[in-house]
Amino acid sequence: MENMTFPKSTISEIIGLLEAVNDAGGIEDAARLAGDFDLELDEILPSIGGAELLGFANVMDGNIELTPVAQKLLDAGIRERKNIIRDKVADVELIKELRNKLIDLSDHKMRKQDVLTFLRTRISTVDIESYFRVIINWTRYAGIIGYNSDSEEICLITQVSHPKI
Amino acid sequence: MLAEIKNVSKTFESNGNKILALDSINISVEDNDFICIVGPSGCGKSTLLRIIVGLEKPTSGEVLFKGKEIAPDNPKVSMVFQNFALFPWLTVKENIELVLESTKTAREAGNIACKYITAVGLDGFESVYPRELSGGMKQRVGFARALAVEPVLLCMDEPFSSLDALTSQNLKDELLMLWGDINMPPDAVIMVTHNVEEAVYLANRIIVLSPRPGKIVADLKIELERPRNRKDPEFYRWVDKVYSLIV
Repeated sequence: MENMTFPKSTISEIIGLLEAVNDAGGIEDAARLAGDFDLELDEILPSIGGAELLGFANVMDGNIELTPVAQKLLDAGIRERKNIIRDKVADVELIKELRNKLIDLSDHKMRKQDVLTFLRTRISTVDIESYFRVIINWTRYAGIIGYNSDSEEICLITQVSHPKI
Repeated sequence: MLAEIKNVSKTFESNGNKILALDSINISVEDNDFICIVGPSGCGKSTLLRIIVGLEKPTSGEVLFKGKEIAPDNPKVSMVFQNFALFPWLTVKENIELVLESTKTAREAGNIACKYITAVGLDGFESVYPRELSGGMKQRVGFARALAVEPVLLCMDEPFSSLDALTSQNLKDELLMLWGDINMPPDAVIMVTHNVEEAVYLANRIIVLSPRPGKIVADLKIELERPRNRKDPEFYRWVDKVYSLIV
Protein backbone atom coordinates (compact mmCIF):
# COMPACT_ATOMS: atom_id res chain seq x y z
CA MET A 1 0.00 0.00 0.00
CA GLU A 2 1.27 3.44 -0.96
CA ASN A 3 2.30 5.77 1.84
CA MET A 4 -0.08 8.66 2.40
CA THR A 5 0.66 12.09 3.77
CA PHE A 6 -1.56 13.44 6.47
CA PRO A 7 -1.53 17.08 7.61
CA LYS A 8 -0.78 17.63 11.28
CA SER A 9 -3.32 20.38 11.85
CA THR A 10 -6.39 20.66 14.06
CA ILE A 11 -9.85 21.45 12.71
CA SER A 12 -9.73 24.82 14.52
CA GLU A 13 -6.49 25.79 12.78
CA ILE A 14 -7.93 24.82 9.39
CA ILE A 15 -11.07 26.91 9.92
CA GLY A 16 -8.93 29.80 11.18
CA LEU A 17 -6.92 29.63 7.97
CA LEU A 18 -10.09 29.60 5.85
CA GLU A 19 -11.40 32.64 7.72
CA ALA A 20 -8.18 34.52 7.01
CA VAL A 21 -8.32 33.65 3.30
CA ASN A 22 -11.94 34.76 3.25
CA ASP A 23 -10.96 38.13 4.73
CA ALA A 24 -8.53 38.50 1.85
CA GLY A 25 -11.36 38.04 -0.66
CA GLY A 26 -11.36 34.25 -1.03
CA ILE A 27 -7.86 33.88 -2.44
CA GLU A 28 -4.54 34.70 -0.80
CA ASP A 29 -0.85 34.14 -1.27
CA ALA A 30 0.30 31.55 1.28
CA ALA A 31 3.49 33.42 2.21
CA ARG A 32 1.61 36.68 2.72
CA LEU A 33 -0.96 34.91 4.87
CA ALA A 34 1.79 33.43 7.03
CA GLY A 35 3.31 36.91 7.35
CA ASP A 36 -0.04 38.35 8.48
CA PHE A 37 0.04 35.93 11.40
CA ASP A 38 3.76 36.45 12.13
CA LEU A 39 4.33 32.82 11.21
CA GLU A 40 6.83 31.08 8.97
CA LEU A 41 5.35 29.55 5.84
CA ASP A 42 6.12 26.02 7.02
CA GLU A 43 4.08 26.68 10.17
CA ILE A 44 0.88 27.12 8.17
CA LEU A 45 1.59 24.41 5.58
CA PRO A 46 -0.13 21.66 7.64
CA SER A 47 -3.29 23.77 7.86
CA ILE A 48 -3.14 24.48 4.13
CA GLY A 49 -2.72 20.73 3.55
CA GLY A 50 -5.66 20.02 5.84
CA ALA A 51 -7.87 22.55 4.05
CA GLU A 52 -6.95 20.98 0.71
CA LEU A 53 -7.48 17.40 1.93
CA LEU A 54 -10.94 18.29 3.24
CA GLY A 55 -11.88 19.98 -0.03
CA PHE A 56 -12.05 23.49 1.45
CA ALA A 57 -9.22 24.99 -0.58
CA ASN A 58 -7.37 24.64 -3.85
CA VAL A 59 -3.69 25.49 -3.80
CA MET A 60 -1.95 26.58 -6.96
CA ASP A 61 1.21 28.63 -7.58
CA GLY A 62 1.45 29.52 -3.89
CA ASN A 63 -2.11 30.81 -3.74
CA ILE A 64 -4.82 29.39 -1.50
CA GLU A 65 -8.29 29.66 -2.98
CA LEU A 66 -11.48 28.82 -1.11
CA THR A 67 -13.84 26.28 -2.66
CA PRO A 68 -17.63 26.84 -2.68
CA VAL A 69 -18.04 24.38 0.19
CA ALA A 70 -15.53 26.40 2.26
CA GLN A 71 -17.64 29.48 1.63
CA LYS A 72 -20.69 27.51 2.76
CA LEU A 73 -18.79 26.44 5.87
CA LEU A 74 -17.80 29.99 6.75
CA ASP A 75 -21.34 31.28 6.27
CA ALA A 76 -22.72 28.55 8.54
CA GLY A 77 -23.28 28.54 12.29
CA ILE A 78 -21.36 26.31 14.70
CA ARG A 79 -23.79 23.37 14.39
CA GLU A 80 -23.99 23.43 10.60
CA ARG A 81 -20.22 23.80 10.35
CA LYS A 82 -19.89 20.60 12.28
CA ASN A 83 -22.18 18.77 9.84
CA ILE A 84 -20.22 20.02 6.83
CA ILE A 85 -16.94 18.98 8.45
CA ARG A 86 -18.37 15.56 9.37
CA ASP A 87 -19.10 14.83 5.69
CA LYS A 88 -15.67 16.01 4.60
CA VAL A 89 -13.74 14.12 7.29
CA ALA A 90 -15.72 10.95 6.50
CA ASP A 91 -14.50 11.30 2.92
CA VAL A 92 -10.79 11.25 3.80
CA GLU A 93 -9.32 7.98 2.50
CA LEU A 94 -7.36 7.07 5.64
CA ILE A 95 -10.37 7.73 7.88
CA LYS A 96 -12.62 5.74 5.56
CA GLU A 97 -10.25 2.80 5.88
CA LEU A 98 -10.16 3.07 9.66
CA ARG A 99 -13.92 3.36 9.89
CA ASN A 100 -14.45 0.36 7.64
CA LYS A 101 -12.11 -1.66 9.83
CA LEU A 102 -14.20 -0.73 12.88
CA ILE A 103 -17.41 -1.67 11.09
CA ASP A 104 -15.98 -5.12 10.35
CA LEU A 105 -15.11 -5.74 13.98
CA SER A 106 -17.90 -7.28 16.02
CA ASP A 107 -17.58 -4.82 18.92
CA HIS A 108 -16.62 -1.90 16.62
CA LYS A 109 -13.59 -1.18 18.78
CA MET A 110 -9.86 -1.29 18.13
CA ARG A 111 -6.89 -1.08 20.48
CA LYS A 112 -4.74 2.01 20.10
CA GLN A 113 -1.65 -0.15 19.50
CA ASP A 114 -3.40 -1.82 16.58
CA VAL A 115 -4.42 1.56 15.19
CA LEU A 116 -0.81 2.75 15.42
CA THR A 117 0.34 -0.39 13.62
CA PHE A 118 -2.24 0.27 10.89
CA LEU A 119 -1.23 3.94 10.62
CA ARG A 120 2.45 2.97 10.26
CA THR A 121 1.52 1.07 7.12
CA ARG A 122 -0.03 4.21 5.68
CA ILE A 123 2.04 7.12 7.00
CA SER A 124 5.79 7.16 6.85
CA THR A 125 6.95 8.80 10.08
CA VAL A 126 8.79 8.08 13.30
CA ASP A 127 6.21 10.08 15.24
CA ILE A 128 3.05 8.09 14.53
CA GLU A 129 1.61 9.02 17.95
CA SER A 130 1.18 12.67 16.96
CA TYR A 131 -0.65 11.63 13.79
CA PHE A 132 -2.91 9.46 15.91
CA ARG A 133 -3.79 12.50 18.03
CA VAL A 134 -4.57 14.61 14.95
CA ILE A 135 -6.72 11.91 13.37
CA ILE A 136 -8.65 11.47 16.61
CA ASN A 137 -9.06 15.27 16.85
CA TRP A 138 -10.70 15.21 13.40
CA THR A 139 -12.85 12.12 13.91
CA ARG A 140 -14.05 13.11 17.37
CA TYR A 141 -14.99 16.58 16.15
CA ALA A 142 -16.76 15.02 13.18
CA GLY A 143 -18.51 12.50 15.43
CA ILE A 144 -17.24 9.50 13.44
CA ILE A 145 -14.68 7.74 15.61
CA GLY A 146 -14.15 8.26 19.36
CA TYR A 147 -11.29 7.34 21.65
CA ASN A 148 -11.37 6.16 25.26
CA SER A 149 -8.05 7.10 26.84
CA ASP A 150 -8.70 4.89 29.89
CA SER A 151 -9.13 1.68 27.89
CA GLU A 152 -6.91 3.00 25.04
CA GLU A 153 -9.42 1.96 22.42
CA ILE A 154 -10.97 3.76 19.49
CA CYS A 155 -14.62 3.07 18.72
CA LEU A 156 -17.19 3.79 16.09
CA ILE A 157 -19.46 6.65 17.14
CA THR A 158 -22.18 6.38 14.52
CA GLN A 159 -24.21 3.43 15.69
CA VAL A 160 -26.80 3.42 12.90
CA SER A 161 -26.30 0.27 10.80
CA HIS A 162 -22.65 1.28 10.08
CA PRO A 163 -22.86 1.42 6.30
CA LYS A 164 -19.42 1.24 4.76
CA ILE A 165 -18.33 4.29 2.87
CA MET B 1 -27.58 49.73 33.62
CA LEU B 2 -26.05 46.30 34.11
CA ALA B 3 -22.95 47.14 36.08
CA GLU B 4 -21.24 50.25 37.30
CA ILE B 5 -17.60 50.66 38.19
CA LYS B 6 -17.48 53.78 40.35
CA ASN B 7 -14.25 55.61 41.18
CA VAL B 8 -12.33 52.35 41.53
CA SER B 9 -8.70 52.69 42.61
CA LYS B 10 -6.29 49.97 43.65
CA THR B 11 -3.06 50.29 45.57
CA PHE B 12 -0.60 47.44 46.15
CA GLU B 13 2.09 47.38 48.79
CA SER B 14 5.57 46.18 47.91
CA ASN B 15 8.54 46.36 50.34
CA GLY B 16 6.71 49.00 52.33
CA ASN B 17 6.06 51.13 49.23
CA LYS B 18 2.57 51.86 48.04
CA ILE B 19 2.07 51.42 44.30
CA LEU B 20 -1.02 52.87 42.70
CA ALA B 21 -2.16 50.33 40.08
CA LEU B 22 -5.56 51.76 39.11
CA ASP B 23 -6.67 55.35 39.49
CA SER B 24 -10.32 56.47 39.62
CA ILE B 25 -11.84 54.12 37.06
CA ASN B 26 -15.44 54.80 36.07
CA ILE B 27 -17.25 52.53 33.61
CA SER B 28 -20.96 51.99 33.05
CA VAL B 29 -21.76 48.63 31.47
CA GLU B 30 -25.00 48.50 29.51
CA ASP B 31 -26.95 45.62 27.95
CA ASN B 32 -25.40 44.48 24.65
CA ASP B 33 -22.04 46.04 25.44
CA PHE B 34 -19.06 44.05 24.20
CA ILE B 35 -16.28 45.97 25.93
CA CYS B 36 -12.60 45.33 25.36
CA ILE B 37 -10.18 46.84 27.85
CA VAL B 38 -6.78 47.46 26.28
CA GLY B 39 -3.63 49.12 27.49
CA PRO B 40 0.12 48.65 27.84
CA SER B 41 1.55 45.78 29.81
CA GLY B 42 1.25 46.33 33.56
CA CYS B 43 -1.47 48.97 33.32
CA GLY B 44 -3.80 47.03 35.60
CA LYS B 45 -6.21 45.58 33.00
CA SER B 46 -6.41 42.15 34.61
CA THR B 47 -6.58 43.65 38.11
CA LEU B 48 -9.52 45.75 36.98
CA LEU B 49 -11.27 42.66 35.61
CA ARG B 50 -10.70 40.77 38.86
CA ILE B 51 -12.23 43.70 40.76
CA ILE B 52 -15.20 43.79 38.35
CA VAL B 53 -15.98 40.09 38.94
CA GLY B 54 -15.49 40.48 42.68
CA LEU B 55 -12.35 38.34 42.98
CA GLU B 56 -10.41 41.29 44.33
CA LYS B 57 -11.45 44.29 46.45
CA PRO B 58 -10.72 47.81 45.26
CA THR B 59 -8.76 50.03 47.68
CA SER B 60 -11.42 52.66 47.14
CA GLY B 61 -14.55 52.95 45.04
CA GLU B 62 -17.10 50.24 44.33
CA VAL B 63 -18.50 47.91 41.69
CA LEU B 64 -22.25 47.63 41.49
CA PHE B 65 -24.04 44.84 39.65
CA LYS B 66 -27.66 45.75 38.97
CA GLY B 67 -27.39 48.35 41.72
CA LYS B 68 -25.89 46.06 44.37
CA GLU B 69 -22.29 45.58 45.42
CA ILE B 70 -20.66 42.76 43.45
CA ALA B 71 -19.91 39.50 45.28
CA PRO B 72 -17.33 36.90 44.19
CA ASP B 73 -20.00 34.19 44.13
CA ASN B 74 -22.42 36.16 41.96
CA PRO B 75 -23.89 33.49 39.67
CA LYS B 76 -24.82 36.09 37.08
CA VAL B 77 -21.19 36.93 36.36
CA SER B 78 -18.79 34.36 34.98
CA MET B 79 -15.21 34.30 33.83
CA VAL B 80 -13.13 32.79 31.03
CA PHE B 81 -9.43 32.46 31.85
CA GLN B 82 -6.33 32.76 29.71
CA ASN B 83 -5.03 29.34 30.69
CA PHE B 84 -8.41 27.61 30.57
CA ALA B 85 -8.36 26.68 34.31
CA LEU B 86 -9.78 23.20 33.72
CA PHE B 87 -9.47 20.43 36.28
CA PRO B 88 -7.28 17.80 34.58
CA TRP B 89 -8.82 14.88 36.46
CA LEU B 90 -12.34 15.75 35.33
CA THR B 91 -13.82 15.12 31.89
CA VAL B 92 -15.16 17.92 29.70
CA LYS B 93 -18.69 17.33 30.97
CA GLU B 94 -17.62 17.05 34.61
CA ASN B 95 -15.65 20.30 34.39
CA ILE B 96 -18.82 22.06 33.30
CA GLU B 97 -21.13 20.27 35.74
CA LEU B 98 -18.87 21.32 38.61
CA VAL B 99 -19.85 24.99 38.35
CA LEU B 100 -23.51 23.99 38.56
CA GLU B 101 -23.08 21.70 41.56
CA SER B 102 -24.30 24.17 44.18
CA THR B 103 -27.35 25.42 42.30
CA LYS B 104 -28.67 22.47 40.26
CA THR B 105 -29.51 18.81 40.74
CA ALA B 106 -27.12 16.33 39.13
CA ARG B 107 -29.64 15.66 36.37
CA GLU B 108 -30.18 19.37 35.66
CA ALA B 109 -26.43 19.99 35.69
CA GLY B 110 -25.92 17.14 33.21
CA ASN B 111 -28.56 18.51 30.84
CA ILE B 112 -27.23 22.06 31.02
CA ALA B 113 -23.65 20.87 30.49
CA CYS B 114 -24.74 18.94 27.38
CA LYS B 115 -26.61 21.98 26.05
CA TYR B 116 -23.53 24.20 26.21
CA ILE B 117 -21.14 21.47 25.05
CA THR B 118 -23.29 21.23 21.93
CA ALA B 119 -23.51 25.02 21.59
CA VAL B 120 -19.73 25.32 21.35
CA GLY B 121 -19.48 22.34 18.97
CA LEU B 122 -17.88 19.96 21.44
CA ASP B 123 -20.48 17.20 21.35
CA GLY B 124 -18.54 13.95 21.11
CA PHE B 125 -15.98 15.23 23.61
CA GLU B 126 -18.13 14.87 26.76
CA SER B 127 -16.06 12.10 28.34
CA VAL B 128 -12.69 13.35 27.14
CA TYR B 129 -10.06 14.64 29.60
CA PRO B 130 -8.43 18.06 29.10
CA ARG B 131 -5.01 16.49 28.38
CA GLU B 132 -6.48 15.00 25.19
CA LEU B 133 -7.75 18.34 23.91
CA SER B 134 -6.04 20.89 21.70
CA GLY B 135 -5.78 24.45 23.07
CA GLY B 136 -8.76 25.53 21.00
CA MET B 137 -10.89 22.71 22.33
CA LYS B 138 -9.84 23.51 25.91
CA GLN B 139 -10.92 27.11 25.52
CA ARG B 140 -14.23 25.96 24.02
CA VAL B 141 -14.75 24.07 27.28
CA GLY B 142 -13.87 27.34 29.06
CA PHE B 143 -16.60 29.12 27.09
CA ALA B 144 -19.13 26.34 27.71
CA ARG B 145 -18.39 26.34 31.43
CA ALA B 146 -18.74 30.13 31.66
CA LEU B 147 -22.01 30.08 29.68
CA ALA B 148 -23.44 27.15 31.65
CA VAL B 149 -24.22 29.37 34.64
CA GLU B 150 -26.22 31.51 32.18
CA PRO B 151 -24.44 34.69 33.17
CA VAL B 152 -25.72 38.17 32.54
CA LEU B 153 -22.16 39.47 32.39
CA LEU B 154 -19.31 37.42 30.92
CA CYS B 155 -15.77 38.50 31.76
CA MET B 156 -12.77 37.19 29.84
CA ASP B 157 -9.11 37.65 30.66
CA GLU B 158 -6.98 37.32 27.50
CA PRO B 159 -8.97 34.27 26.37
CA PHE B 160 -7.10 33.85 23.08
CA SER B 161 -3.54 34.62 24.10
CA SER B 162 -2.60 31.00 24.90
CA LEU B 163 -3.73 29.81 21.48
CA ASP B 164 -1.88 29.65 18.19
CA ALA B 165 -2.77 32.36 15.68
CA LEU B 166 -5.05 30.29 13.43
CA THR B 167 -6.98 28.66 16.28
CA SER B 168 -7.39 32.05 17.89
CA GLN B 169 -8.86 33.44 14.66
CA ASN B 170 -11.37 30.58 14.54
CA LEU B 171 -12.40 30.93 18.17
CA LYS B 172 -12.97 34.67 17.90
CA ASP B 173 -15.46 34.06 15.12
CA GLU B 174 -17.18 31.33 17.09
CA LEU B 175 -17.36 33.62 20.12
CA LEU B 176 -19.07 36.24 17.94
CA MET B 177 -21.53 33.61 16.71
CA LEU B 178 -22.43 32.74 20.30
CA TRP B 179 -22.64 36.44 21.18
CA GLY B 180 -24.94 37.07 18.20
CA ASP B 181 -27.29 34.23 19.17
CA ILE B 182 -30.22 35.75 21.05
CA ASN B 183 -30.89 32.43 22.79
CA MET B 184 -27.46 32.48 24.39
CA PRO B 185 -26.29 34.30 27.49
CA PRO B 186 -24.79 36.78 28.37
CA ASP B 187 -26.23 40.30 28.04
CA ALA B 188 -22.80 41.93 28.07
CA VAL B 189 -19.14 40.99 27.76
CA ILE B 190 -16.04 42.60 29.23
CA MET B 191 -12.79 41.28 27.83
CA VAL B 192 -9.22 42.20 28.65
CA THR B 193 -6.70 41.93 25.85
CA HIS B 194 -3.29 43.27 24.91
CA ASN B 195 -4.10 42.69 21.24
CA VAL B 196 -5.55 45.83 19.64
CA GLU B 197 -6.60 44.10 16.40
CA GLU B 198 -8.49 41.54 18.45
CA ALA B 199 -10.25 44.31 20.36
CA VAL B 200 -11.28 46.14 17.18
CA TYR B 201 -12.46 42.86 15.64
CA LEU B 202 -14.65 41.90 18.60
CA ALA B 203 -15.76 44.93 20.57
CA ASN B 204 -18.44 47.52 20.12
CA ARG B 205 -16.70 49.55 22.80
CA ILE B 206 -12.98 49.83 23.60
CA ILE B 207 -11.68 51.28 26.84
CA VAL B 208 -8.03 52.32 26.70
CA LEU B 209 -6.02 52.43 29.91
CA SER B 210 -2.88 54.49 30.42
CA PRO B 211 0.43 53.03 31.68
CA ARG B 212 0.50 52.49 35.45
CA PRO B 213 -1.36 53.82 37.26
CA GLY B 214 -4.12 52.70 34.91
CA LYS B 215 -6.52 55.52 34.13
CA ILE B 216 -9.12 55.62 31.39
CA VAL B 217 -7.70 57.62 28.51
CA ALA B 218 -10.46 56.80 26.02
CA ASP B 219 -13.82 55.07 25.86
CA LEU B 220 -14.48 54.50 22.16
CA LYS B 221 -17.60 53.26 20.41
CA ILE B 222 -16.43 51.10 17.50
CA GLU B 223 -18.69 51.97 14.61
CA LEU B 224 -17.70 49.19 12.23
CA GLU B 225 -20.33 46.98 10.68
CA ARG B 226 -20.26 43.24 11.36
CA PRO B 227 -18.94 40.92 10.11
CA ARG B 228 -15.70 42.85 10.32
CA ASN B 229 -12.93 42.29 7.84
CA ARG B 230 -9.35 42.56 9.07
CA LYS B 231 -8.22 43.57 5.60
CA ASP B 232 -10.65 46.50 5.44
CA PRO B 233 -8.81 49.90 5.45
CA GLU B 234 -11.46 51.25 7.87
CA PHE B 235 -10.65 48.39 10.25
CA TYR B 236 -7.01 49.47 10.24
CA ARG B 237 -7.93 53.10 10.81
CA TRP B 238 -9.54 51.97 14.07
CA VAL B 239 -6.53 49.81 14.95
CA ASP B 240 -4.21 52.79 14.35
CA LYS B 241 -6.45 55.06 16.38
CA VAL B 242 -6.41 52.72 19.39
CA TYR B 243 -2.63 52.16 19.08
CA SER B 244 -2.06 55.91 19.01
CA LEU B 245 -3.90 56.20 22.32
CA ILE B 246 -1.79 53.46 23.93
CA VAL B 247 1.72 54.49 22.87
